[in-house]
Parts: sequence; structure tokens; C-alpha cells
Amino acid sequence: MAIVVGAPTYVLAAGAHDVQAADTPARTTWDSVFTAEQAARGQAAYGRTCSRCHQPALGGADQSPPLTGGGFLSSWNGQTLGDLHDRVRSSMPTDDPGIYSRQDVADVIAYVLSFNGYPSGTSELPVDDGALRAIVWASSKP
Amino acid sequence: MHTSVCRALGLVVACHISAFPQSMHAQQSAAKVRASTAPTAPPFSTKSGEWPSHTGDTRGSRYAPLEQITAANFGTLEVAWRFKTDALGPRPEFKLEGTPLMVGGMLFATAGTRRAVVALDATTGELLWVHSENEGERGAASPRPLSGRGLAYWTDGKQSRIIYITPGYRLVALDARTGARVLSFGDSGAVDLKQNMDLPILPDLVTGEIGYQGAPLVARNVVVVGAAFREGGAPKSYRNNKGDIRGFDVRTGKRLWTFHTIPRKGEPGYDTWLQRSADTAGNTGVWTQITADEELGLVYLPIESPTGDYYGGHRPGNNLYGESLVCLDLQTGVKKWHYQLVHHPIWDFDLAAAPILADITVDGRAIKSVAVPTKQGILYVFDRVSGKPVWPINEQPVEAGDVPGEWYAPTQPIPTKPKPFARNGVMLDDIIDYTPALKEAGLAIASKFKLGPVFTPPIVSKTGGPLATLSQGPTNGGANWAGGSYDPDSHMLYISASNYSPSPLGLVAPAAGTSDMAWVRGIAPPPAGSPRFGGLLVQGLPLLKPPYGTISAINLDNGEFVWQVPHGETPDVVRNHEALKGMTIPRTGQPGYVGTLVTKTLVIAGDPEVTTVAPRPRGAMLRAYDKTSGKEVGAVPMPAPQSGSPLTYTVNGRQYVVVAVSGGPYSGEYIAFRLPAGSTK
Repeated sequence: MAIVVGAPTYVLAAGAHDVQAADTPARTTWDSVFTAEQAARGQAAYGRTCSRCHQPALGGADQSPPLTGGGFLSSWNGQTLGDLHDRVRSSMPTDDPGIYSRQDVADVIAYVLSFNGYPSGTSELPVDDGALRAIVWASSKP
Repeated sequence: MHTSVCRALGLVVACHISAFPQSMHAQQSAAKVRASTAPTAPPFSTKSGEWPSHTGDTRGSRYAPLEQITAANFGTLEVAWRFKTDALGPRPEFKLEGTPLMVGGMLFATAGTRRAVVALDATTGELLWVHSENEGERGAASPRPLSGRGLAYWTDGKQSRIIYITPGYRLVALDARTGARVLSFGDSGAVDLKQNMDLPILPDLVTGEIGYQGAPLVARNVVVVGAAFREGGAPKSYRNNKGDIRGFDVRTGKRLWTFHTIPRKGEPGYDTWLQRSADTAGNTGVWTQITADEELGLVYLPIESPTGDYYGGHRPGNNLYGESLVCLDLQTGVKKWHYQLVHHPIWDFDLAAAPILADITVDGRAIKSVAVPTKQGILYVFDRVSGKPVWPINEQPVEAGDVPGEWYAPTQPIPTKPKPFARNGVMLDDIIDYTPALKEAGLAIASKFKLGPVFTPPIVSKTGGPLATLSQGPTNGGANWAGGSYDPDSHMLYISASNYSPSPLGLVAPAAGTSDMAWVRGIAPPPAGSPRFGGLLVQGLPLLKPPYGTISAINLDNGEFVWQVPHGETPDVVRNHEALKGMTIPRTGQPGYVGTLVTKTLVIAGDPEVTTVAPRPRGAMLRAYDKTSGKEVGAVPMPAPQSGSPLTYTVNGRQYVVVAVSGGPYSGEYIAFRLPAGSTK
């Protein structure tokens, strides 16, 4: 057996981060954009509906992608929370999309952020589209 | 006319383009495409440049002996056409998993949130016809919604049909030339799959839980139909509908046979369900692709778990044919043999990938084999005629758990060859160790869990710990529906592995009123005032060591690995992590479902995640490997990850590679690549 090791390697450059500097709004998901209380509300909402498919530990299942881990973080890295809010609100749950309020979706996003290690703060994640689009998901801490 | 027929049946719609004024143009285009491309006579095969079945053939091969696209020119591929699927349903879809078919210059695919069927000009992507059925509440209630994974093609040389299964579980036959229902099939072109069952689907035909998102198998003149259900970690009840598998006549839609995946009283295997639990248990269907040997007249069913993915106390016993490979006579449905890969399933180790039929030579002996890649990273290989293992499979003692009410199988079958192609347990040595500090942090997280090798059972989650058994495989691990590939010339099997998907298998009592199961999957709440379980990331990095995803080449003549490479770019979060600055990290690969395609010289597969690597824009790469060495020989960018397994075909002397992409904020799209004009001889 030959384990091919000729694949490219990377020397990681100091100062590199994921979000494109030129497009970076003032805030990222590292800037304490939700509260612990909101995340707790989101956890309860997640447990009522989302977890039946995405599983209690957000790990996903055969038909439902994980909401934690590398693939999930990569998918949303550099995207705004407005994009994520739109996606969840318009497509979930698959059997009755559109039933969640903007507040419900924001709360669940707060829980997902919390679960993935982002810090909470003193202000809740807003429900206003413009405000959500001013916050960028950054998978690595800038 | 067609539309009015559908309305009379109570269906809200059926829009296929031929119902509208522009249909004349569309049909003329379709006819023109068919007339301009060769060959158009059956039998169609990948050898003649077609892709007439979901996996290229009915054998799970995903192989085409095409050689215009090579190592030397793969990197020059350009987009021939793109087909966005947003409008094929009431909202965009972000999970496009289809592999289209290509016959006679027409490409057929499922797409969109209503699972429409589209026919495209295979050289331009121009829409030729679309067929869509609005199933209303029944479609919305589907346990397997969205666009599905594909369809089937059938022809007798005079007529040609597209066969597919709707989200609401109807088997529909369409005229491949126009997209109109074939009215002589079933009831005006459709068979209600929630009927034609030996037992009624409960509670009713609208909400009764059963469906299928795979491509139906058409072999000879038989359509074989799978059965699937909702995710089974926390079912509402240990009683559920049963996943019987059925064969139908492709001409008439008449049911030919039914195979009881859970034996009924008096049938062999009933006694493997103690306390008559076969009477109540459900699921145990086939949600992935079924394959068949048309020459032998045999069909191979990769069967999933019974009701309750992680707790089986309501179904004591080994539970045949749960997580078994079952071989049936294609024409009659009579069982020829079976082999249970997991006794008393409690890990959700559904047989998730299509069985691959491989004619091999072992120690000088020709064997018609069937190889089954699994979530647990084990490739099980059998003589597909006799059902006997090609290499010995030993019953090995496994740990018995202590979940109250559970029944444990004392042994599990473990093959002596090949060795596992993916990580399939979580041990201390698997924990991240890029730096001492990261290792320490990783071990701190791991200390909250029970670790162990494959078949370490789930545990009751405890607030003070352990929270769960940390396993690798049940959720998104090893091989899954995207499947592997097989090269019939070299006898090499290629399989991608999702090598990073740690799954906490904890059990909790269900919340009041939510289930009659004694235990469902869950994590115990933390002590008052303590932070809750925060996932399996270490400062944003994966808890386990790389590689996170691989492609392996296994010689099925001797069961040995020939090569294994990490597949997929190193994720952004690793390349850019503060704690790893200045370190040299070999490519890690990426976890995810990645179907492979094999051509005369290449293995082709796309990245399952997006990355941002200058100077290319944010996106994912479609990669080609030299199939003999595993060396990457070319890559081209895609705007989103590969989300469906690729296919290849030739039309008018030019080879195409088509792949479905979607994920995150990027909605579903089929993209076709080909070499630049003038670059082919």
C-alpha cells in the first residue's frame, strides 16, 4: 500500500484569516453577537423541532447535515448571518418551511453559534435583516 | 390533456412543457437531439458513451471507459453549461444530490423541492421538458423530501421511459421523449406505492410514514423500489410501518413480488425477533441504491436498521434482516441468501452505500463478488452467487452495554480482509495533537465521553458523565449513499471515506408525551449553573486527528490497499487557525459524502466543503487522480461543494463530466464540464 504524501502542504502564514478583509463589515460572529439567554431559548426551540433531524448534538444524520464541525463552518465562513437567517427561515423545516418566526430563527442561530464555541454577550442577535447582514460568520477568530 | 387527466385524479398539477404553447419547440428540440447523436439504439451502456443507469450500470460501478479527459488536460476543463434548479418547486433547494442519466444526447435528472424531472440537451443544458407533480399535503409530509438522487431509464427499442419516485411515494412512468405520463402504466401513469403493500401504511395515505429518495432500479423489465423513513434517533414509537421491498413490471406497473424485510410469523427469521417483536417493529427498509446482476437475475438489497437507531430493547434478538445484505431473485423476489453485517443493530449502521458487483480473481479462482462499503469503514466482500465471504469473516466478541432494557448481541462479524478503509472507533490516540495545548484541550473534551472501538455500545447519558459513547461512523462517517466505484478492467474498487464525524451516542428518556420508546438519543442536561455540552470542537478545530476525508483504492483480487489519499482541501479553519501559525500541515482532506467516478485513467471527485484559497475564489474543487497511483493530476473550481455523485458521457465526440453542487447558501445546480473547443482530436 502506498500512502500518497505528495499532496500540497501549507505553511500557515501569520495574520491569515478567513474573512476577506476588503469585504469585512465591522462585526463578526466573534464579537459577542448574542446573549446566553437567547441561546437558551434557541436551544429549547431547537429541541422541539430541529433536533428530530439534525440530532441533539447538532451532528446531523444520514439525511440532515451537521450544524457543527468543519463542513458547516466552511459553508458559512464569510457569509452573513442574514444569509443564514434567510436560508433557515425559507427552507426549514422541510415538511413545512416558513413556519418559524424571525425571532425563532434568530434564537436558534444564537444557539448554534453558542454550540460552536462563539462567545455570548449582552446584546441579543437582532431579527432585522439589515442588522443581520452586518454580521459575518468567521470560522476562525480574526 | 395530460393536465386535465391529472386533475381528475385529484393531483393539483403536472406541468410538463408539452402542455404549453411552446411545447412544439421543446419537442422538436428533443427530437433533434436524439436524431443528431449516436448511438440511439439499445442496449445503452457507458462503453458507448451513455450513462443509462444511476451508477452507470445496474451494478454500482460508477465507471465509464472514456478517455478523452485525461491527466494531461483535466485542469483545462471549462464549464459547458450550468442548470440552476431554483424554480423547480416553491422554493430553492440547497441539497441537490442527484446523478443524472444520459441517453441519446438527452440528460435526465431530478431537481428542485418538488422533485421535478427535467430533460436537458446534454451538450448545452437547454431545457427540453419538465415534469412536476404537486402532491400537496402528502408531498409535504414525506419522510424523504426534496429532489432525490435520481431516476431510471428503460427502453424496449420501440418506446423509452423515465421511471422515478415522487416525494409522496408514487412510482411514475414518463415518456422519455416528451415527459408526459405513460398512461398505460399503473393508474394513468403512476403506481401508488403507499398501496400495493401487504400491510396498510398507517395512519393514512397522506401522512403515513414511508417514502424513498433514491433512484428506482430498473433491471431487465423489473422496477425494484426501496422504502425509507424519518431519521430514527428519537422515533415517536417503537411501532412503525415496515419497509418491505417490492418489484414491479416496468411495462404495466403491476406488482410482481414483495420481500418482507421483517419476516412475518411463520417465515424464516421470525424467531430472530424475540417476544414476537417482529409484529411491532418497523423501518428495516432500503433507503440507498439497490443494485442487480442482470445476467444472473439477482438483486442485492442493502437493508437499514429496524425502528430505533440506537436503542433496540423493544426488539430483542438479532433482528433479521436488519443491517443485512439480502440477495433475491430479480423476477420472483424469492430470497437466495442473506448475510447480516450487524447483529441487533443499535449503532445506525444502515447499509448506506450501493452494493458493488465485481467479477474478480482470488488465488486464481474467478469469483462473481459483491462488495458492500459501510458507515463503519469496513468493506464486506461476498461471493454474490453463494453468499459466502470471499475472505473469512469471524464472529468476534463485543462489549455488552448496560442500558436498562437493552438486548445485546454477544458477537459481531468482522472481516479478515480488507482492513477498514476509515476510522471506525474513537480511542485516545485519535484525539487532536497538532500542539500539546490542543491535545490537552482535546483530551479534556474526550474525558466527558466513553471511548472505544467499533461496536462499543451506546450508553445512558449521565449529567456527571460520561455523556455518551463517542463513536465514529453512525452519523456521516465511512461510506454513505454517495457510494464507491469499481473498475472492471483492473478489479480496483475506489471508495471515499468521511473520516471525521464523531457521534455522541447517548440515550435519555424521551420527553413526556413525545415517544413510547424507553430511550431515545440525547445528551443529559448539565448540572445547575454549569455550561452545557458545547460540541466536539477544540478551539474551532476538529476533535480528532486528520485525515478528515480520504479516497482509497483497494485491489479486490487480493483485498489489499493500493493507495489512500486525503481528499479535499485542508479546511479554512485549519489552514488559518491562530494556534497553527507557522506549522506545516499536510493536506488533511475533508469529511463528507463524496461519490467517486472512474474513467479509463482517472478517479474524479469533488470537495465536500468550500474553502478560500488564493488566488481562486471561494468554492470547492473538482479533482482528478491517476487511478493507478492516487496522485492528483488536475483540479477545476466549482462554486459550491459536490453534493451529488458525478457522471460522464460522450456526445458528438466530446466527453462531459456533470456534477451536482449545492450547500450552505448555494442552491442546487448541475454543472457540466468539457474540454475547450478545438482541444480534442
